[in-house]
Amino acid sequence: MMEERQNSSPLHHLHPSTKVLCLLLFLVWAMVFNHPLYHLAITALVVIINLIGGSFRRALSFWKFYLVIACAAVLLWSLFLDEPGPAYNILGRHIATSAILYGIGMGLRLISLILFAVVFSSTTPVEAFTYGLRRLGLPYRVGFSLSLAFRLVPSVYQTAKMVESAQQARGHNPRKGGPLRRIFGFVPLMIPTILYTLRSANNLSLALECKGFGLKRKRTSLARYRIGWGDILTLALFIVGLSASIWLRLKGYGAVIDRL
Amino acid sequence: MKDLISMWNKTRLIVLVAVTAAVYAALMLPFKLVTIIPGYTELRPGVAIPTVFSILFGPAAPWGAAFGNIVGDYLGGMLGWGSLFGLLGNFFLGYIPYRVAKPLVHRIKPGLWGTVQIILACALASIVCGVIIGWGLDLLGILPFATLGNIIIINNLLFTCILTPIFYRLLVFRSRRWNLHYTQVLGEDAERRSRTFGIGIILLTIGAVGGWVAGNLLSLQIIEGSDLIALLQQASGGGYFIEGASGSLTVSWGLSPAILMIIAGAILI
Amino acid sequence: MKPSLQSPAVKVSGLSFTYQDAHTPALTDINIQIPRGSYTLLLGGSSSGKTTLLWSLARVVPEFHPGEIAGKIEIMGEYNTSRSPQEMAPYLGLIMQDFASQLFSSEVATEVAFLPENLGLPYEELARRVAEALQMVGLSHLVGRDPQTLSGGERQRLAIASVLSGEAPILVFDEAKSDLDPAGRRQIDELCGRLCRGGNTIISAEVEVEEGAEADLAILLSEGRIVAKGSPKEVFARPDELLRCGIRPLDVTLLADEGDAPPQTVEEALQYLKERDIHPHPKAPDPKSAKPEGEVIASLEGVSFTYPRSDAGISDIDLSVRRGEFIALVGANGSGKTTLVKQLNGLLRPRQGNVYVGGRPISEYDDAELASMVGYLFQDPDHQIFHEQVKEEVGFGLRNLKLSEEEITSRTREVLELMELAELEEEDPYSLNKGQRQRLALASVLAMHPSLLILDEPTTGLDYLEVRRLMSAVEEMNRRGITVIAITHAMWLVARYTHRVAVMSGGNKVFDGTPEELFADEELLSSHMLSRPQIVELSLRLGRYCPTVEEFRRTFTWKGA
Repeated sequence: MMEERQNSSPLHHLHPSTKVLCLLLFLVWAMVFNHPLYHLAITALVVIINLIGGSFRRALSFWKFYLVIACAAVLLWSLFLDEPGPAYNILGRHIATSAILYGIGMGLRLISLILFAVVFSSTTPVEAFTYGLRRLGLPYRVGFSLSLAFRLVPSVYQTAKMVESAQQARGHNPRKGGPLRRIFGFVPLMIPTILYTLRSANNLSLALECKGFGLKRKRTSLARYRIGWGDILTLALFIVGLSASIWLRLKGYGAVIDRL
Repeated sequence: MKDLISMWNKTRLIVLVAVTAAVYAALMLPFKLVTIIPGYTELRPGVAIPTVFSILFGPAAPWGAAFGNIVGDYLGGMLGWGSLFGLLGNFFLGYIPYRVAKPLVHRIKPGLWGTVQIILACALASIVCGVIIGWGLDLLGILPFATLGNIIIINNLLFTCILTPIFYRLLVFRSRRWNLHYTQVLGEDAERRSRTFGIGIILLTIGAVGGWVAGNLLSLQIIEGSDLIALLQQASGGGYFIEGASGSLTVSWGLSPAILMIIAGAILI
Repeated sequence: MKPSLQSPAVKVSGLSFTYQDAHTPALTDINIQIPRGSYTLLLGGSSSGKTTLLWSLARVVPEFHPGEIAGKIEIMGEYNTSRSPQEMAPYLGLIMQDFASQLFSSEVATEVAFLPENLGLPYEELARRVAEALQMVGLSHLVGRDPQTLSGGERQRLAIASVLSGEAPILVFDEAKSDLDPAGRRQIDELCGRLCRGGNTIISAEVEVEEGAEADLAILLSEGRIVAKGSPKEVFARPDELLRCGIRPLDVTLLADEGDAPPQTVEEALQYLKERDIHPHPKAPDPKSAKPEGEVIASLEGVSFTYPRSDAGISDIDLSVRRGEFIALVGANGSGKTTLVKQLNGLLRPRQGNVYVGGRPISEYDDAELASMVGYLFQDPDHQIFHEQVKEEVGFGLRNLKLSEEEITSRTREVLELMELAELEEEDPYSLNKGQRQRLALASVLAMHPSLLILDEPTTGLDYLEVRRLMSAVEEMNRRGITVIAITHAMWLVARYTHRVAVMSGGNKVFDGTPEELFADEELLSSHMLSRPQIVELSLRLGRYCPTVEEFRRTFTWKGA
């Protein structure tokens, strides 16, 4: 019953818990090095994962964003890190080469984290995500609330757009004027949106209770995921990769500066 | 503190957690374009949502704010370390206001003193949220405290202090009509202030303001981590702090007493 | 009525209920028995207590909405007193009007599985129930789809399936059809019939009566009390009572003499009237109403529009609107009606073609200017209300026009009086009922003195009295020269109020003419699931066109009329 998804890649078939664990492992992995070359390797790995997961196109569509991130990281860290060693003098400021390299490394780190998040969210439906979290110990109600939050975002957004049209039809445009005007302009947009959402929330709570939500019984599930060889292999790859990286870093490789 | 757990037995509050999260995440979207530091923060009038929902929906707001942060990051493809500390910081942003502004629960129109209380509670929550996120990301070496911490705090202060009282006025009467106010769902127990409120609020305030100031001083290297450590060692009559810590470790170690104070204060209020 | 040897499905004795903080009871001394396997129609206007009665069966009151309850309720032979709404789920399924807010999963199958999952049923049983429920509502082919991508009718059927999977013997529908187009309504009616034949007990709350309703029992509620009970035929035969309760009676029942059993179908009416020697009035006026021939105030020329990532939209539409016209726009949901009218106030901009308002291209106007020319009333008034006071709400649009305070005050007073809201000007808009909120929304639009007024399904969710009140205000504005375009599914509204009607289908305008021309075209009507109001059908069968009962009485004469 659950197989009829339109998109399907090897990553779609992984057990949700595997994917959540891999995400957590990757969060650590991305922190191990700060040398740009090592980060380049990690970024390349995530690009490959995106290719396998079929989300490369989506990931690529954010390219402008990556560029901004990279520039901002280089700029910020060059200014904030006062490192010894070779340096440039730019506009009277002492800027260390190592700080620039560190900045590039950090830019790549952010990009690889985003790329991983893209492939994760593209290959893991919300229910699978919260199912994975539940299997790792998150209580059912908490998981339910989290997945409900995901479902409500588009409807809140739609409501907000509807409200915006209704206000626009009365000659009000929250996107015009100076910053302060805009902030106050969003009050007429937000209030009906929130009230509308609250009213539906009340109806939804009622519907949930009438559908037996919160009955003190053991809940069953139609969703069935099985752990396969793919899961074991994927997890093994991540664990080996991460351990090797930590070992390398402890041996003194992969760092421009001695910090995370 | 107990209501943070007991609320999970109430369907309405469970749904309100999701609503807080969804509204928080969705209302950030139109502003995603006004990015200050890409990937980490943007101009967010939406931060007034956790604070106003906190005063209205009590314990549903901290969970909602934390989830909202995850949802926003997930949908924007930004799930990462930032999310982890964002989760924690936003949790406090939704937690502090209702604990501090509890005496307001029965007043439909807050009045001048009530409005001042709301503003103070929001200011405190805003600083705590920024200190935690700034500290966390500096700790991991992702961004320096002086950039991110300050940006978050100033953005939070600006929007929560202006918008929360306005939103509260426009929403409180209506949410009570729908029986959505947290005291209507949880009963009278939820209205009582804890006996340790006084000491809690003092710890929280010192932790927040102290953390903000110290974070800036350390991050901008106006004082060295070793100075602060020496100072602390003197004060505590010798201790076991790591000597010669540098870079982000300075901020992380230097700020850890503030973070501990914030956590202790939050438990006590 | 079907025989039943067992205890009734529902037995309510002496039920009264008052909501917390309310001054008057929502229900007073309700006594009913509903046999197993029967179909009950619960009729009543907006605050008649229908929903509260249904909620009391499901224990939503007093468990979810607190208040004071008295009396006894037996469901399938057991008292429901000690149960929570959750515990009632296996006995009674509740389907609500607002179906969008009942759906929360990202997949059709998951949605339907939710209820039986909560009951803790084993996997095989879950799979069986999901498959059966989806088959019952005809959505088996959409099992893996995201509910948000379904049409309104499909979503309502999914909401029903998500309750059917609980396999409760009693199913309760609370105005479940009111947001649907005629095709969607028909599907729900057929489904209810099938469920009932399959042994379910059906209770359906409605604000409208229909010719030949299939129910076994009809109950008429007003102000929390039962005012009539019996077979639908018996209850429908009391048009005056229905009117008082905010229900529009069947047209033909209004033709009978006092003391006569009124006819209920067109056939019965024909026989009734022929027995009384019906013939056209010798001095019958020409029923064709004068069509306004003012100057063109808005027009669309070859306008096409498609939504991003979707096939929906409109293509190559020409439409010119003359001053003083009252135009209806009809057609199935998703046929492009709303997309079309949104071109006229700039909420959507055409991909191709031109839109003119007041003789100028629409692109030459700014938001405030356009808003003062073209008023737009959204389907749901709550999308626009945010102020704390009724008069502030009306003043909001006027402030955007930067008018003087005196002008704002005088215009506000004027429209609030027209809308019969003057006494409520200090109230919180959210304390008003739906009908009043809809009138407030209309007041805030009218205050801007638009020359063109667009109404998007303005009567959804209102009872007949509220509809009449709203529409008379609109009619009055139209008489004063404001041009009106109304989107609606209610054909009696088209017949009664409009000069002209356009039919939309699949993004194309397939008809544009007078209501009389539309109702004369049987093929067009049936291919677009449109129907003639009873009185139109009857008058056409008698060789004339009468859009209303009053018109019919002016046109024809018969013994005792």
